[in-house]
Parts: sequence; C-alpha cells; structure tokens
Amino acid sequence: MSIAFDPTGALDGLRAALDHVRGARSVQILAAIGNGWTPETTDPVLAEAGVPVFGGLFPRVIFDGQSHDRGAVVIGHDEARIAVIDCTGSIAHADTWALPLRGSRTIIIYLDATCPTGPLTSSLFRELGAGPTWLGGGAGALDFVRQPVVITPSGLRAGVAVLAGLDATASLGVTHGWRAFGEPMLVSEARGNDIVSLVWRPAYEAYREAVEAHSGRSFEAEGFFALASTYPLMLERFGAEGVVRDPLAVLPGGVLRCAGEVPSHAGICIAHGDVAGMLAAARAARERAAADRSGGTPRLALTLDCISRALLLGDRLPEELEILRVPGLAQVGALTIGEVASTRDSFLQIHNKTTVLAVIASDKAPG
Amino acid sequence: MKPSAAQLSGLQYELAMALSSSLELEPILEAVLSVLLRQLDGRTAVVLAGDGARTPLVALPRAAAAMMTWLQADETRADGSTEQPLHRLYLEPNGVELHRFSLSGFGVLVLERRGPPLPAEVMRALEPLMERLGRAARACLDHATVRASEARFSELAATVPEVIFECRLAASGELSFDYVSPRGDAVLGLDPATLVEQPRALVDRLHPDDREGLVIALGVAASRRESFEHRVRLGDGGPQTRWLRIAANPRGPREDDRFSGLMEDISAQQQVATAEREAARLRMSSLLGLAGDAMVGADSSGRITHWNRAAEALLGYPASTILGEPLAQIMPERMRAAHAAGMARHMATGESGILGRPVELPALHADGREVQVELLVSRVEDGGEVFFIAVLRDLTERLRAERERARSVAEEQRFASALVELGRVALTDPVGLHGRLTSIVAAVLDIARVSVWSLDPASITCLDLFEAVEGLHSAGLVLEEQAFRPYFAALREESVIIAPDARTHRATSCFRESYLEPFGIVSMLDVPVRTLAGRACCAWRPRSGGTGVTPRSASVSMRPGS
Repeated sequence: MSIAFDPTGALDGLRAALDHVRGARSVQILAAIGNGWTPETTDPVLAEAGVPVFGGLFPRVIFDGQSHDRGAVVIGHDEARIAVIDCTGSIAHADTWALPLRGSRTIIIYLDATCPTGPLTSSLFRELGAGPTWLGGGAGALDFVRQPVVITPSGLRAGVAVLAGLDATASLGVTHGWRAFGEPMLVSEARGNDIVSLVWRPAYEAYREAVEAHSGRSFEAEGFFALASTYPLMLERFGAEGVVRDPLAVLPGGVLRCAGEVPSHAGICIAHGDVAGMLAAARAARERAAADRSGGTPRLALTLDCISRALLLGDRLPEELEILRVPGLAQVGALTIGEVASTRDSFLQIHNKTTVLAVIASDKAPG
Repeated sequence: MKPSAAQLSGLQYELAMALSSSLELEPILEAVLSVLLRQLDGRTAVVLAGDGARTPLVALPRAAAAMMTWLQADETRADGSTEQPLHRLYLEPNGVELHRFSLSGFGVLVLERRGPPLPAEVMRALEPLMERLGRAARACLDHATVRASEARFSELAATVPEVIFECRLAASGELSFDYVSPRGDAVLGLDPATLVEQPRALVDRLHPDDREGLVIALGVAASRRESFEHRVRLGDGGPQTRWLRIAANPRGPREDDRFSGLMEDISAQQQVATAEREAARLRMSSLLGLAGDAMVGADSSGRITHWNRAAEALLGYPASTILGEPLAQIMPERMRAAHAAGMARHMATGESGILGRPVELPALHADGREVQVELLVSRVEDGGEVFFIAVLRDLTERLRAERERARSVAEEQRFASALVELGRVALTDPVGLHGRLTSIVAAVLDIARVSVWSLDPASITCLDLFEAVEGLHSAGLVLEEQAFRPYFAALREESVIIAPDARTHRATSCFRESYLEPFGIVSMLDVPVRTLAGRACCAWRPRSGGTGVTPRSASVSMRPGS
C-alpha cells in the first residue's frame, strides 16, 4: 500500500502521484472538486495508470492533518475488485456487480452525492451485507449539481457509485457527537432524501418551529443553512447511536431535502451539537477504531469526515483532524457529502455529519 | 437506557406501516426486516416458514440464509414442546444476540445483532407486532394462493378454445354477463367487455330464427335453476354463419340467478353433423317414400327435411318447394306461434303435448284451403340428429261418413218421435188419427200427398187426404173395384205396392187419366196400415232407397190392413 499526495490538483501532479504508486494493482484517488477535473482532460491521465482506479472528487481532501480544497491523494492497493453501479434509478443487475465483491473483507464505496441513497444501500446490504466492513462517502460539490465526480476504471462518471473490494481489514470508528432532544416526530411522508411532512405538517414548518423554540434563534434572521447546520435531524436506533440526517435545503411546499434517505413512517428527532461535542466524538471515533482491530498490520488511517462538520468547526477543523490521526500511520481522506460506514456487525446506512475513521490493515508488506 | 413511550410507539408505528405496505409476502417481510435492522442496528434478519422443516423466505442480507444451520441446531436443542414462546433470546459466546420471534401459525423471525442489550420494553413492544406479522404473512399466503388460482384460470381461459362466462338469467330469459373470458373476441366476434356492458349484443348476432328459442331455453333454465345446453347460429345464415353451443350450470344455491358455463364454436362438428344428418335424411326419405300415408319429417329447428309423395298428394306442395321450409308453412297462420313455442319448449325441456298420440288439426293446403288431418308425431334420432316424423291422415272421407251417419240417426230419431206421437194420438184422439197420420208421413217423407183409405171388399174409401203444399185435409172419396180392377187385384196379391212410375205401373196405371196426370203424380207407394185392438196403429217403417218415390211428386196411400 503506497501513498502519494499532490497539493496542486493539476493533471501533471496526478501523473506524478500515479507514477509514485506504480506497481500497485489498483489505485484509489481522493481529489478535491476544486481541481476542476473533467472527463475530457482527466480520463486519459487515469487511463495512463494502467490499473483499475477508483475514488471521487470531494469538497476537500485530507492529508496529514490538513484539509485541502485542491489536490489529490493517491493510494496504491495491493489488490482491489472494482464494480460500478448506476444509481440514477432502481439498482439492477445485482448478480453482475455483487459477484466480484463477494468475499471482500472491506468494501470502499464512493457515490455521486446527488443520487438517492436508499435503493443503493438496501441493495448493497441485501447482496453483500453482514460480511464486509463498509466505508466511504458521497462525492460532489456543495452546489449539488450533478457532474462527473466518481472516479471509475472507465474514467470520471456522474450518477454512479464505485465499489472496491479489499482483502485488507478495516477497523472503524464512527461517531457524530450530536444529541437528540425532545420526543421523536413521525415522518408522515418522505420520498427518498426529501421529507415531505412531519406529523402531517409541512416538514420545514414543524422543523423550524422546534428548532427556533430550542435555539431562541430565527431561520429568517440567520438564514437556513446557518441554523440548520447546528440542528440536524436524527433517526433514532435502539441500542446504537442515532443516524444523522443533514437538512440541506427547503424545497417548495415546505419539503426538507436531506443528505441521505429518510424512511416514511419512521420516528425522527431534532439534534443539536457544538464544537466541543464534535471534537469529543472525533476522539471516540479514534478510540473505537483503535479498539476494533480485526487483524493484520495497520497500514493507513482513512478519514472520511462530513463537510458540514468542517463548516461548523470552521478554523477548528484541523483540531479534529489532528484528533483523528493515528500515530505511525499516514492520514488520508476527504471531507464528504454523507458518509458510508458499517461494521460487519451492523446495518449498512448512509450517515451525515459523521466522522468515519478506518484503520486499514493488511498482512502484505507495503508496496 | 430506558426508551421513551414515544420511541416505542414510533417503532411500533413504523413496523405497523411496514406490515400494511403491500399484499405480497416478500415485500412485507423485507420491509419489516429492514425496519428492525435499522432501528435495532441488526446485523442479519431472516423469516422462515413452517414449524418443522424451516424454509427461508426472506433474509437480509441474502447470505443470512446461512443462519439455517444455527436454526436447525436450535430446533434440535428445543425441548420437544410444540408451544414456542413468542420471543426467545439466545446469547452466543461471541457476544451476538439472537432474537427468535414465533410468528403465530406461520414460522419464525430471527434477528441477529451485536452491541448493547436491547431493553425489555423494546421486546414487549415488538411482541404484538410479531403476532400481527404472523397473521399478515398467512393472509399474504392466502392471497397468493388466490392470485395463483386466478392466474391459472386466466391462462386457462385465454388458451382453451371455449368462451368461459358467468352470467345472470332472469326468468324472462333476459341474459346479462358478469364475466366473459378473452376468447369471446375470437369465438363470438365481440369484445368481452362490450358483451358485459351490452349482453343483448350476443342475441343480436344470432340467426333470427334462433333468437326466440334461446330466450325461451334460458327462461326455462332460470325458472328451474337447472343446467341448459342450446345450439344456435351466429350470423344471418350466409357462408360466414357459424354454430355455437351454449351450455351453463346454475351456481351455488345461494347465488340465485347466477350461472356459469361455456360457449363453443361447433361449426366444424356441425359440418360433420350436417353430413350425417343428410345421410340420415336420405335414409329416412327412402323409408318414408315407401309409406302409403302422408309423412313429413322435420329437424330440431323445425325445418322440413322429408316429404313423401302421399304428403304431396294430400297437401299439394311438391317436395322440391317444401323441403327446407319451416313446418309452420303447412299450418294455418293462427297456429304458427303456438307451434314455435311448443317446439322451443320441447327442445329445451323434452316436454311435448303431441308426441306419440294422434291429434286432429287443420293443415294448410297449397291452394290455401284447410285440410283436416290426423297427426301422429314421433321423435327419431338418427346419426346423432333429432328428427320429428309426422304421419298425416286425411280425415275428409271419414268426417263425411260420420256426418252421414249422424244424419241417419237424426232421421231415425225423427221417425221414432213421429211414431211415439202417432201412438199418443191413437190413444188420446182416435178421431183425429187419420189426419195426424197423413201429416206426419208427409213431413217425415217430404211427400206432397198422403192419404189413408179403408178397404172394403169391392171399394176403398178415403179416410183422410193431406195435400202438403196447400196444407189441406179432405175425406170421403170412394174408389170402386170395377173402375180400377188392376189396382184392387194388386191389393189382394201384394202387401205393398211400390210404383216409381205410377203411370206405367201395372197396378196404378189405371189412375193415369183420372188421378195421376190431373195432380202431376209420378210415383205411388201403397202400404197396409194394421190396426191393433180395434184402433188405428201405424206399425210400418218407410223403406229407404229404391222406392222411386220423388219428394213433392209422389202419393202415398195407406190402407188399413187386416
């Protein structure tokens, strides 16, 4: 497993990084959306790698305790079985994409953040769940305009998810630090990532009322994102930390669009958090990842941190990234739009506003 | 941490909604398992059918079907009791929790998870929902069974050559369809949906001659709630006309007027049957041709199929023009409706008022007159076809003879009445006897002159002469033997003198100039009148025929006999 980082984000830098990991049997590329890569310019460079590539373009990339809005992290893997899934509609041809991934200990997934996530995670869990450890995140820009942001063996693609099955193990720490308050509200209607109504009221109306009552602040005065970023929604679970849903925008009719699927008829709470809580959660994630050692020699600390946490943390983001560093391991990763994380002992879900720290371990010597 | 009531309600509500999310078993189970996995952070979940040999129905993820091995071990560990607790928790050495829920009457649900133990309140909240899941799963299976049956029926209905239908029959014979299978389009040339909306469309497509018969047959079947089978033609009788067999059975006893059945295009069979029928007709014709009586054959639709020479002679229709025509053509107009109704009823029910017994009725001759015939109708089956053979006997002669006999009897009754009257007069009015006698004889025999004479040795004296035309009685005339010797000689030699031509008869020619010619008398009948107990008593009978007596121009003399 070899690693290279190009802070320029230029294609020449990418070439150089790819040269650095040459000899790997597959290459993971985490690049910043700010690089401005397009299929026309990038695909030929990716093809020069000569091995299957996977990864994505993210709001920022992480390397050694810093986040960068330009640049690319290139990781050479000893092996990887890669599949690409079209996520624009129902998930079909499971036999085709699931077959090469069966038996993988770890599956890394990067998906176009503009795609609905429910059908994808359901299909993945149905076909491959309960075996591998899952991790990954949503690629794309914060304007949520669909564009080619997923790096696949055939180049940059839009509307897809790329999956890489590894024999390496991954120890996960997944936390968010948000705390629900009040009683859960019924999601009386939801469509994919959009909550239409809460307790049969327009979703935004019910959400705004609860948030403004709790915070004493006003959406009108501060703007939606400023307040909503500190009041995410949370799907509660029994015996496990709730799953956060980040409200991204208000659509006509009071519909709340979230970064992840919200099931109809579920109970959902409003959560709140602060910087101290976020940082405490990051520490918990690192401790869990360290505790959940599945065997093999640790090779890499892959950090997938939610971009909305970065926005909330502001200039204290490096503090969180520092907390997430694992001594003796290179820290690489990305600030993502939604995170995927599931140990082999839990249900596969998309998370929001969550920190995912994966310690990748392998018995093979680094390349 | 103890969950709040709202959290538990939320779990129950989401599961309840998952239970009602579909009528299909697998989507329901998958929805329930997904909720459980997400809410309880489960690792795998599986639903298995059956209490004994477990059959995995839905597993999330699919690889969780591997839990079967564990479950079989679980069954082995079971204490043999058939009563399974609603929820059982197994704690494995590796920290895995296995929650086993009994789905009443259906199977089991197993959820595998790791992590902090679930609060007991959660399990209690799940128990009623597991009960409901068992019921819902059974309902889904029932629904699936019904749907499978419906699918099999639909496939069958689309592939069998017959049209399958459900209908309602009113006692009036009115027909309406609840269902017509897709084959209706090909067999009937009618869109099944159209037929359901406009059942009359079927009747309208039938041959006009077959419509009434079908309605009657349907009405009979409806009123008796019994099976019926009827054959009709689709079309106007042209080359495209096809034969249709309609058969139906009443539905269950509580379904009143509902029937279900089949409609089948039997044109091909009918062609064979037509050939066989033609052969049978020829056989029948050759047999009927030998018969001396008029014989007419008809098929089940009432068309004339046989017509022998005797029938031609009786009713005047040549076989070449009458064959193929409806039987009604040889019936007076007033009888045709009753015939059609009777024929349809017989074909529908087998009942008949005329089969096997002679019936007298009028037939219509080709020249328009009615001919009274005796009709004996028999039902014959030949070559699978039903024929009706009618023997017709001309009743004209027999009726004339009967009328003659009736007239004779009437005359005898008149004579008998006259004799009774004479006897009564002789007893009650001896003086008027002679006048009554001549009047009665004149009336009975329709004769112009009747007289009664007393016979002496050498003369006869007129006791009463009745001239019927004038209605006059007279008496007293005396005829001497010396003037009319031949007549007196005959009186002595013959008891009765019959003189058809009185002017030339040896006994009466002597009256020619003095009596016969002046009064225009051409015949005479002279009979003795015997007396009993000194009273005049007529005891003679008029001779019938051969007397030569001509009414209005004969003279009858009666003389007292000894």
